[in-house]
Amino acid sequence: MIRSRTGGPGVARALRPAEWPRLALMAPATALLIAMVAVPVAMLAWFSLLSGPGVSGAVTGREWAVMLDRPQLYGGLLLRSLALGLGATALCILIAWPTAWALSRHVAPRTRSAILALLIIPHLTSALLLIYAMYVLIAPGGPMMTALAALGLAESRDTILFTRWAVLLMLTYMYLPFMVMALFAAIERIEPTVLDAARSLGASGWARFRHIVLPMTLPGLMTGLVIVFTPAAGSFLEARILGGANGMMFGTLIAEQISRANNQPRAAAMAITLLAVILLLLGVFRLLAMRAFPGAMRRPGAHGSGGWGG
Amino acid sequence: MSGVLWRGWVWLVLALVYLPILALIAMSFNASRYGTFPFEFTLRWYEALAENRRLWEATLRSLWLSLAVAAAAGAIGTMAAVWMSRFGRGGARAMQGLLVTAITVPWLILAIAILLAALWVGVGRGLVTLFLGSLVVAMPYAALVVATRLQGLGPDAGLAARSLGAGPVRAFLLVTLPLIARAVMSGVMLAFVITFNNFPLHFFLAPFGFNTLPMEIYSYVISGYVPDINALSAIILGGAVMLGLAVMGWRRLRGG
Repeated sequence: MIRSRTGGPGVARALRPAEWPRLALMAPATALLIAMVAVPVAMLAWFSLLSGPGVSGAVTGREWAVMLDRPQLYGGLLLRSLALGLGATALCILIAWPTAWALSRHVAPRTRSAILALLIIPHLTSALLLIYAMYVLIAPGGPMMTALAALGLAESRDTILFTRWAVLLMLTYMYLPFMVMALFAAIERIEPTVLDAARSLGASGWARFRHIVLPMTLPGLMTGLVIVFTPAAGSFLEARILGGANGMMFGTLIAEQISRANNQPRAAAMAITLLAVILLLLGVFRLLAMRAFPGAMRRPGAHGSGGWGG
Repeated sequence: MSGVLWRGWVWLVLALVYLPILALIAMSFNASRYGTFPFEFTLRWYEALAENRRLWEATLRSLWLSLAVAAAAGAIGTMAAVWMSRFGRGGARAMQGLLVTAITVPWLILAIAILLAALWVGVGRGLVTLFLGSLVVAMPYAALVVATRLQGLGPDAGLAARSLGAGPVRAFLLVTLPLIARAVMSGVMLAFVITFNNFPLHFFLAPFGFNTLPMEIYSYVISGYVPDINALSAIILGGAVMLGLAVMGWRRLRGG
């Protein structure tokens, strides 16, 4: 570790090139992010107030009135999307935690990196292919139902395809590897000696988990929550292909406002609603985590803790 | 709990992750048009796939789009990462916040926001909209990968070059860039993969008639079981896993 700045900050300052075209370096990225993310997302609020079709109608707020008028449909669908997102996240955590723990503590490093790679590789190809693979697997008369029928557990025509359970299964499948990655990175940071020390001081298995492992993996858990819950609750493709009428999600209805109904303002209103609710829930979870484990969310050396600039 | 149980759990999870994929690959060799049993071996669907011009043209379109976006994302992302590591204090935090926000917004919502803004500007769907939309989704990944590497690297090497008289551009090109080349390459590859597969963005932003591969697959799959798509998926998924294994094996051989 010869990373100490031998010349001290003085050298860095003397060499900091005033002539360096600083703005030119950050300008394209900043312009892109503002023009293609910040402004369009902010403008959704404006578009949602117009009357459709298109985005040049008069300001009427009609679409909000329509949505508020039918709380069973819109509210119910929103709740179902959130429930599916949360359910998939919970299942991902339940499956991924022991997996990440076992990979970190019980599998040799060589095998470990191979398994991590094998877990993530299919999920780097198209989401559509994975959804289709699940469709093929659980289709009536397909491999899984035939196997279950052979075991006498189900009729080969019975299937969860085109129900919300298929969507839940798919969302869990889609995001499981990312949760494993997030938790694995967090678990790797726990020094085994800390656990040994706790054990030698008489802490039971549960106490070690509750007071050491859980708080120390909390940042990874929050990362996992963001990268699993956000896209899962905001998804539409899984429900569109596997959900059928009974497994529809809020996102599916948003997409149909554009692709079928040609009602852009309502799509905007629904999109903001979904985004706001997702962000709100993430905020609540963060708050709960910080309340439950004060200090656990502050993590030195990681992103966003001021390490930039060297 | 004993190590055997823990390891068993890992292998079980891995097997479950591969179950749908293996089922899909197996069914791509099954003669039934509806994906049902009894199993009867055939290569017919691969032949049908080879003759499917629509899919090949869509694949080419997706390749060009992803290559262009990945190159731009690598360049812009690296520039932003260098800026963050060199000059930014508060600015770097703000930039990082923007990058993470761009990653966090679900693609469906972002795609609709971009589409409506493009309609409002008067452009609407189109190649430019598709390109810029794909770029803003892919670029943050490239920027964050390179930024992480630069942060780990520290400023010493670049400063040493500068103290020996190299200009800032020269120091960057001859010293810093070779040191971060692998991270830049990873960022470009990540941007490529993300762009190639970003169905929500393609679905809402691509001009009519410009169907990317995910859009073509969607148009088949939405109507149910299509054995040609099984064959295509088997090639893509099987190819990706083989490629991954090959890269790992190669690294292991080289690393000893």
